[in-house]
Amino acid sequence: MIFLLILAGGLLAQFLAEKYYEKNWSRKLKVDIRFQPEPVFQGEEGFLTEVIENDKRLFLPALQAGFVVSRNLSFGQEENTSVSDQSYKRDIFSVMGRQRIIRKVSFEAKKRGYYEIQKADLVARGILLAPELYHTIPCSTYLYVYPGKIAGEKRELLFRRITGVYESRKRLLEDPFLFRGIREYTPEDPMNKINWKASARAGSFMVNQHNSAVSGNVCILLDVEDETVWKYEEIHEEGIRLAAALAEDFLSRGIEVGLITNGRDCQEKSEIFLSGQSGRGQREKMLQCLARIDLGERSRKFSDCVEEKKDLLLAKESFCILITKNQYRELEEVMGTLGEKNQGSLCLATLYPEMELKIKSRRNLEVLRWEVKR
Amino acid sequence: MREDRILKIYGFLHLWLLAAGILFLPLYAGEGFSPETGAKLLFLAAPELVLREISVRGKKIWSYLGASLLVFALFWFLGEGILEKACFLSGAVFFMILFFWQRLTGNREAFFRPSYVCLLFFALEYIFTLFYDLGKLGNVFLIVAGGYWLLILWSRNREHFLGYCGDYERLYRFPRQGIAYGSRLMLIFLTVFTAGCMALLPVLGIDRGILAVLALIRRGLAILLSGTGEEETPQELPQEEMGPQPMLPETGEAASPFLTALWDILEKLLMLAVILGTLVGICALFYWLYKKYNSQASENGDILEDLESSGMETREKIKRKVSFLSPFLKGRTPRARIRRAYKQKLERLGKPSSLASPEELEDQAGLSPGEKREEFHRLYEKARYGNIPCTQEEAKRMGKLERVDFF
Repeated sequence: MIFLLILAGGLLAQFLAEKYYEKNWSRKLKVDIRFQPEPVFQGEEGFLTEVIENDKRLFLPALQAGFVVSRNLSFGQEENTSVSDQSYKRDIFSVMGRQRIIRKVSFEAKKRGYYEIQKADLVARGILLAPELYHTIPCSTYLYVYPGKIAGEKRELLFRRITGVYESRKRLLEDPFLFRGIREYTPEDPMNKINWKASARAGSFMVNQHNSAVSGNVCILLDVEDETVWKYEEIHEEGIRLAAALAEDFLSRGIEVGLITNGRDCQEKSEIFLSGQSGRGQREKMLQCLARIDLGERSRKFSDCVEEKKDLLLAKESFCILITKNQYRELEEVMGTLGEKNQGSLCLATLYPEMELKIKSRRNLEVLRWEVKR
Repeated sequence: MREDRILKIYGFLHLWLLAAGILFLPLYAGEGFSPETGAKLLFLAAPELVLREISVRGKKIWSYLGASLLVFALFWFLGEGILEKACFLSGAVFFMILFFWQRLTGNREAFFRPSYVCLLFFALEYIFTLFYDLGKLGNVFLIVAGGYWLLILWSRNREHFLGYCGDYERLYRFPRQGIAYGSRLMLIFLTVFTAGCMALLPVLGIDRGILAVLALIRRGLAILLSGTGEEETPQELPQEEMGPQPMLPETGEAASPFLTALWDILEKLLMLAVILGTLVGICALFYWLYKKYNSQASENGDILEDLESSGMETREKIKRKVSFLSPFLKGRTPRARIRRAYKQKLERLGKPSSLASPEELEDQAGLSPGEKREEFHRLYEKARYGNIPCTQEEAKRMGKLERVDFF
C-alpha cells in the first residue's frame, strides 16, 4: 500500500503542477507588437518592437511569440522568419516572473503598401518543457510604406517639361480683371497691354501683367488597369511612384493636387478618389492613398472612371495629368476633351522600351513617354 | 549527434539502480548481505561504464569480449561467498548481454534511459519483501522507487530541453541559457513538490483510512450477500439503554479506527502546513534578494526589465444591482404612477410617435399651452429624468391632471 501511495504522490504532484501551470501561464501575460509610428518609403528600413510582459511570479522558461505579416516586409536572414504566402515570424523568449522583454527588429520595406498585424500567437512549453500550450492575443498595429522616390537626371528632365506645360497653360488665358503688376515692354507684348500712364511716368514703355484666368489646381489621373490577362505590375508600380513624385512636387509649390484612379483600396476594396487640396496634410493623404492601391484587385476601364468625374474636372478647370500604359481610343478622346475645355492636359505614357507610343501630342494634349526598365 | 553528458549520467544511474536493486534482493534474502557487500555493489558501475563505452566506441568485437572477461575475473575475485560471486557475475553478464545486444541492433538508447516500466521491478521486489516479511529491505526499495521516480523526471526534463533546443537553436537570438535556467528552476520546484507529496501521502496515514473504508464496504457487502439483514428483528434493549448514545467511546472502549485515522491526518496536515509555510517564506526571501540585485539586464540585444508590483492597485468587484421591489410594487411607486398617467393621457388622444420628445408629443396630442400643461409636463420630466424621488402628493396631482381637459 505504501509503495502505491508513493507512486500516487508522484503522480499527484505532477498532475497538480501541470494543471496549475496550464491554468496560469497566460494570466497577466501581455504581448504587444508595434510598428514604428512614422511611415517609411519603399526600399527604406523600418523597425518593429516586440514587448513581452509577464506580470506574475510564475516564470515561462520557453515562450514562442509569432505573428504574420506581409512578405513585402523583409526581416532579413537572421530574423527567424519563414516566408511563403506571407512572412511568418517567430521569436523565442525565456521570460522570468515580473519581467518585461523589449526586442527591436529591423526590416526592409520592399514594396509600397498598407501593412497590419492583428494578432500574436503564443506557444509556451509546460512543466518539463513537454506539452505545448497555445494562446492568441489580439494586437493592432499598422504601417504605411509609401511609394519609392524617383531620382536622377531623367526625372529632372521630365519634371521640367511637365512644369513647362503647366506654366505655359497658365499664360495662355490671362484674366484682364486680375491685375498682377507692371513690367517693362518687350517686343513680344501686344500693344493693348501697354499701360500708358505708367509709361509716361517711367519714361519708357511699361505693360500690365495679369493673373491667369485658368485654375491652378492639378488632378493626377492614374490608370492601373490591365487590358489583357497579362499583368504589368512593374509599369503600374512605376506609375504610382511617378504620381507620388508629381504630387509631392506640385504640393511643395503650394499647388492644389487631387487624385483619380481606378485602383482599388486594399482594405475597403473601393476605388480611390482624393479631392484636390494643398498643404502638408494633402501630401500625407496622397501618399497614403497611393500606398493603399491594391494592384491585385480588378480595375475597371479608366475612360469610364474619368467620364464619371468629368463634370467635376471641368467645373474645377483642373490641369489633368494622366499616367497610363493604355492607349485606347476612348481614353485619348476623353483626355482630348478635358484638354480642350481646361486649356491643356498631359498624358504620361509609362511603357517598356519595346512598346510603341501610339498617342500623338496635339493642341491642348501633350504626350510624354516614360520608359520603365524591365 | 553528440551524446549529452547529463543524459548519459542519468542512463548509467538508472542501469546501476536497476541492477543493484535486483541483486540486492537475493543477497539480502540469502543472508549474504553486509555493509561490505553493499559497498561492492557500487563496483557494478565499473562494468557498466566500461562495457558501454567499448560497445559504443570499439571497432572490433574482440575488445568487447576481452573487456567482458576481465570484468568477470574482477567480480569473481571480488565476491566472497558463492552467493556473492554468483550475484556479481550475473550482474556483469546482464551488462555484457545488454550492451552487446544494443551494439547489434544499433539502438544505443534501448534500456539506457529511465522509464516508468522499470518501476515494476521495484514494485515486485517490494511485494516480495512484504511476502517474506523483510521490513527493512522493503523500506530501502520504497526509497529507491521514490528516487527512481525523480530520476525519470530529471531525465524527461533533460530530453525535452535538448529536443526543444535541437528544434529551435538555429533561430536568431535563441535564449538557450535562459531556457536552461528556467527549466532547471522549474525542475527544482517540481522535485521538491513531488518529494513532498511522496512523503506526505504515506505519512498522512491515508492507507489506514482506505483500509477502514474497505473494511466497512466489505462488512456491508457481507451483510447484503448473507441475506440475513432483512430477517433480523431489532433487538429489544432494556429501558435504561434506550437513551441517546454519545459519539465518543466510553472509558476503556477502543476508539473508532476511522476517527483515529482522521484525527491523525488532520494533525499531520497542520504540522506539514506550518513546515511548508516556513520553507516557502525562506524561499521567497531568497528570491526577493536575488531579484533585487538583478532588476535589469541585457541579453541577446533584448532589454530585460523587472516589473514592480504596484501596491496602489486596487480591484473592486462591480456589485450587481439588486432590486428588492417586485414588479407589482414597482408599478405602485409615485414615479411609475406619474409616468403611467402621462402615457395614458397621450395615448387617449392618439398613438404617440416613438421618436418625439415629450414636448413634441404634447403638441401632437393637441394639449393647449397653459399653466396646467406646464405642470403636467414638469411632473412627467421630474419622474422620467429627475434624480429626486417623487412624492405621493405629486402622483395624486398627476392623476388629477390626467383627467383635466386641456382643450
